Amino acid sequence: MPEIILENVTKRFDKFVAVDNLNLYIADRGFVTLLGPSGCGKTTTLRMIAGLETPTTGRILIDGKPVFDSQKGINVPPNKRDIGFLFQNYALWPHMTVYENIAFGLEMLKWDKKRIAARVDEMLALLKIEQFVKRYPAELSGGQQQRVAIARTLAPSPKVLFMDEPLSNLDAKLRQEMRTELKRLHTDTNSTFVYVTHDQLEAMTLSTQVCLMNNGLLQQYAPPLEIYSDPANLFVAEFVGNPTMNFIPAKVKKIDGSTVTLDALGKEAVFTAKVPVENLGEEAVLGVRPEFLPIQEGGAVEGRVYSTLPTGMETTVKVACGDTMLTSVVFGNVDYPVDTPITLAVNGNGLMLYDKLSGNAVGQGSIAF
Amino acid sequence: MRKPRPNSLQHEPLIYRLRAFVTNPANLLLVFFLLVLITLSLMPMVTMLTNMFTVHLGTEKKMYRLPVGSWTLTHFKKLFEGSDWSKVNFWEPLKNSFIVAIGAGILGIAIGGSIAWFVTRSDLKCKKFISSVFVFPYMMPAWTLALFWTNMFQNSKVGGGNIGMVEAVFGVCMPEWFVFGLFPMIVVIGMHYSPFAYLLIGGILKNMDATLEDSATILKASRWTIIRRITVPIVMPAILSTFLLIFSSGFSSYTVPVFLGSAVKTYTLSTKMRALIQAGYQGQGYIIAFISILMGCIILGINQWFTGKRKSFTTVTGKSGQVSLVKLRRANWPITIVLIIFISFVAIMPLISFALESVIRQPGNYRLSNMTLHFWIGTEASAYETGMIAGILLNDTMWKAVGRQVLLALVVALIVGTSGMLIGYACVRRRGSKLSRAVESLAFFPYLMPAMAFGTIYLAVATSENFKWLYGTFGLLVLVSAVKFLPFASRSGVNSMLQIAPEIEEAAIIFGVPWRKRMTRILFPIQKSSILSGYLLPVISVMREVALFTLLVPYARYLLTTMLFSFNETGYAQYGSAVTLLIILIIMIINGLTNKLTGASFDKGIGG
Amino acid sequence: MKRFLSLILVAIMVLGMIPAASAETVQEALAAAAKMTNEELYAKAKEEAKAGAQMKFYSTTSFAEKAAANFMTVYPELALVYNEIDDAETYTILGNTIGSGVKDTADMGLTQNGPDLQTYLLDEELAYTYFPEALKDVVDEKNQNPAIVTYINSLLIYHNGNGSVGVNNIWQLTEAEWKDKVFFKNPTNETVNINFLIMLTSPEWNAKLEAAYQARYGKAWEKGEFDTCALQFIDAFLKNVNYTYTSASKMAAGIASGAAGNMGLFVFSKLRKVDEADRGNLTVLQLENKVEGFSGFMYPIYATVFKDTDCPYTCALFINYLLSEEGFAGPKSWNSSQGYYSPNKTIAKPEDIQDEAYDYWTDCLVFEDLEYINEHFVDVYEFIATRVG
Repeated sequence: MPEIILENVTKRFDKFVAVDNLNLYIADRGFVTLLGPSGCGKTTTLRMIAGLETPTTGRILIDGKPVFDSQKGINVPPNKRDIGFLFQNYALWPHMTVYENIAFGLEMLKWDKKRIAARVDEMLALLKIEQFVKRYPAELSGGQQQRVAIARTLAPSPKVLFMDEPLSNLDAKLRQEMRTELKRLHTDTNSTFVYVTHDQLEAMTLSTQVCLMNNGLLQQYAPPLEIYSDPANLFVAEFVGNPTMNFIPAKVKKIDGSTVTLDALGKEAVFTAKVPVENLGEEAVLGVRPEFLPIQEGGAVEGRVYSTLPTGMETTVKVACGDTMLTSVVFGNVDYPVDTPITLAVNGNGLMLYDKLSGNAVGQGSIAF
Repeated sequence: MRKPRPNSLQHEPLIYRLRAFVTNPANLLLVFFLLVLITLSLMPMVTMLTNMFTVHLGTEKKMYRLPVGSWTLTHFKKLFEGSDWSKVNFWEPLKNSFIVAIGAGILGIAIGGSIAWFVTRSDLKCKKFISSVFVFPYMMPAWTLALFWTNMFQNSKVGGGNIGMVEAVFGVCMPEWFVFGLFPMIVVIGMHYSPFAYLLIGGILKNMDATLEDSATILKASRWTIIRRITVPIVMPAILSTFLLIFSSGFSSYTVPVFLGSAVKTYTLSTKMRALIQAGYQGQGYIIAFISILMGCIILGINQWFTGKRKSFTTVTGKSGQVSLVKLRRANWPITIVLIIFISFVAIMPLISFALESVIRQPGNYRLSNMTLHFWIGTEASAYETGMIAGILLNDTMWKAVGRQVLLALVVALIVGTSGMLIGYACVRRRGSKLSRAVESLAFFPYLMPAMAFGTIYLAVATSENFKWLYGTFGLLVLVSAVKFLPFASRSGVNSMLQIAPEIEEAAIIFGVPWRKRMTRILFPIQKSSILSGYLLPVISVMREVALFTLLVPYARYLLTTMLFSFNETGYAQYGSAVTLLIILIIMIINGLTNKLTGASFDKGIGG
Repeated sequence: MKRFLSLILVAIMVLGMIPAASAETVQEALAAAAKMTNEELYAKAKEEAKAGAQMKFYSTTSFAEKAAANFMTVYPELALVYNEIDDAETYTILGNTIGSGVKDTADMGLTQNGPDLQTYLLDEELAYTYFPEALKDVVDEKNQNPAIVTYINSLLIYHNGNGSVGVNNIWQLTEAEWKDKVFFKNPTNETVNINFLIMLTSPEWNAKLEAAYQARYGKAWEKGEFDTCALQFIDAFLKNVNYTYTSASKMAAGIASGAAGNMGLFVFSKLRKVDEADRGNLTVLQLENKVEGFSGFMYPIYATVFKDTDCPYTCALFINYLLSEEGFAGPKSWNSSQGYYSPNKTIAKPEDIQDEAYDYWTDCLVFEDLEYINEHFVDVYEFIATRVG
């Protein structure tokens, strides 16, 4: 199962830069998610690796072989790249039955009829769609169509499987189910998966590595939990995590090695980072995950309850602190009346400090007010 | 596509159902149009049917020695019985009509469909030029293309030995089967309708999701396999519809076989129909008309059956992916050049030919010394002496005819476009109900009637007791054109309305907006461009129609096209060419202006 | 006041009824008109014009337009409107519109194709014939009822290039070397052509064809496959005919600029449509050699007055005009072209026109005979139609 390498890949549409100097290494048998908001370039990147889109400059290698090289003029067409591609709208051929759809790719490989039939049966069983074998796509529900699309893509056992937002057309419950199935398939088929989504929850739960993009630029490429706990910049911090991380504006008073004295929430605080802080300007942003901001008697931060969203398992509380709105998560079956005064504690060692101007993370640590 | 809403008032008393029915404007519209269409299309059918069985004044009375108006089956016997007469007047022409219709259908689709594929699916160069110029042949009256063909290819070795442009310039003499007969009929009709095929098939291709082909590419299908197994089957309903439409038009075409068949004694059913009626064999003439219509109905039936079998092949959900165009690489420039040459020949060459033909004195002589602007702006008295008007641009009669034709086109377009939109609205709102299906089919029916038969029947209607106030009036022409050209307007109306979700109107209903305002302030502006295109198509159809009007105009010079046709018969060919060019220019100007002002163009009206 | 008004109303009604009561029928008017002088007719016509009538006439020949224009200069207070009508549609349109109460139809017509005129209009009493007494002596009786205003001939005319000399016996045109070189408008699209072919089967012309046959082949014609000589001739002739040109004007221009030796049978007067540069290429067969058999045919334009006209006197005056030298030989009118002949024997053809007088053509051209054609139409049409292809 091959590794995929992107070197300095750029894609320009006239003046608009869709993908800007992307460097990526996808380990074989990995499950890499290209994550980001609409228009960030993730689908374009996916299509470039698949060969459906031609990069403007750069190199792409699959399994050590260059499939694209702008300098050498190499551009292997998609049907020679030995890949599978699952489209967002499934692209099932409406005039063919489920069987014919799945068998198509195998016919192109010139397999004999018996072998095709066996493989199709295998796929139908794997995706649990045996009873639909003679139906037409228009007669199936969304979830069923999606399974057929997956079956069709997996039938020729491609080494790399590309998926372009395959779950976005399903309802919430089905999406949950399919996520589990996909993760299972990844293990069962032992292929490399490259997955595009804008849903950070999906990315977090499914992948081995997440490639977060914005405006064509790579923001961070790391395993999901690292992205969650150690977001490299304000964009990543804000994008990943639900509810969103709290951003507390702060003025930098003094930097002393790993200690930074800040003015935040009308109070003075001291931030202690794990390593010496560099590249920090005058303005900073303190990033605190809601779970590190518990409601506690006597906590350092004072405020009023703005609104609550109890789910039974946990309650999300929005607290107004002067001009700043903070979000806290409390586990358990609790609720707070609106407008009651409340105090929050700032716990933990995983708080992030960002330089406001560049947006980059400058340190991670704890804070004391 | 929404399923029709179940009739929730099924068990309520009749008075409530009636009231609910009447308060929905869509229902009222459907009933109104149903009555109008029945009167205007079915009534002529009844007239025609009775004529098939009665004895007429003149030849038939002499032949059968029966009183006029009596019932008889002899028309049928005479026409179908295996004898020389029926062979010459029915079976041979029937065979020829079929050959021409099928050939034209195949050719039209082959040319139009391929160009549609190249323009929508590949990275062909000069697409703008190709797609805007390629629609020209559709705007020209069909017989002028036939004339263009003979002007180009006639040569000293065929027909009367008159020299055409190709021989004059290249010295090449085409063989007889190329210049006259079934081959050029197929080519000319096919050429005339290929832009039509281009727009219909291109429309489907444009809206067809590219991911359907991309996914096949990734599964390692070759380009050719994709076309064969994916593209064509999905586009097949459009291809079949188009074929059937071209077949129907080709089958009932009158003017083209007149010009291209006589020289080699090749006749089609429509030319024979005309001859029979002229000689007084009206009964048989009408039987032939009926058969043409029957053919059309069978075609419509086949079309319905086929598209009904497989529900429309729209892709399942999701936004359509980015289009990945086929790279033609080294084949690109050669194909582009071939297409440009071909299209220039088919679309631009006729214009040049008409222009040239209108300025030469002596036919066949293309030297500069032989050229004159006399036919355009001349005032020579000698021309007048010979019974012809001088330069057409200086002639009063001509400008009046132009005025009338343009006025007719605009009035008909207004009526037909509006009706089309209203029918579209009503049929879509009541989709699936028996009433809307009836109206939709009836609205399309006039397309299948040969124009010549239509004109003849309406002449009889317009001179009968109750309707004689119609005869010779501009109003009659408006009426007949409106009925004949309604089909496409109603189709385009249905298509544009289908694209508007019902919720849009429902939101307005909740706000208490009355129906008229909903139409004019909400629905119409949303689909303005495609609705207006439905207005534009009748303009073109009227501007180039002649067979429909011949019997109904008070005199030949009343309209521009009938004047043109009579020129081609009796006048200098030069006048004919000049007037043809004028007609085409007027059409182009109208199309261009509308395009600039509103974004509508007639290709959107067809479905492009 | 009320009484006064009602008196006025009654008076108007009574006055209105008087003309109605004394309105004569069109036939009566025409009978009266036949006896009047032109001045008397003019007076009556002016009355009709004052009453709001406007004379509209249909004609298949465009020279009539010229004649109408001339007429209006001679009789200034009258207005004529000329409506062109295509021969193919004439009787369909006229048959359907006259007498149907449709307003504003034509008042009279100058139409060709006598047999159909008889069948569709005269027999059905939709149109009436008219002929002025004053001219009864200068016009042959057979041309009076219905009145013929002009004759038109179709002649055999050929391209004289490369030393071509045409033929001197009509049977030559049925032989192999003339295949596809004889041009004729498809008879099923041109009724006068059918009428001509039907006339060939009449006893007079059948005999002439037999004589020509004898002259050409040195033996008498024998009945074989065909019942009469004429039928055999028509069969062989139609086999050779080439229908490339779909109208007489096209044929004239086409043959003149086409291959040498081609022969056409078409309307003589259409020669005026041929460009001057090419006109020298054409030779009228009859004017060059005497032809055994026939050298063309002659058909008339009839003038009839329609049943629902509101100005019969104007029509009568116009017909008188057309029959007179003033009308027929007026500026740019019929007499200024070759191929038109007035039945009025006092009108001579002008010197500068290359043509012969009417009398010259009477024995070498086939003339239309209404009754014969009406009687034999059905059989011969079938014979012809199945051979036209």
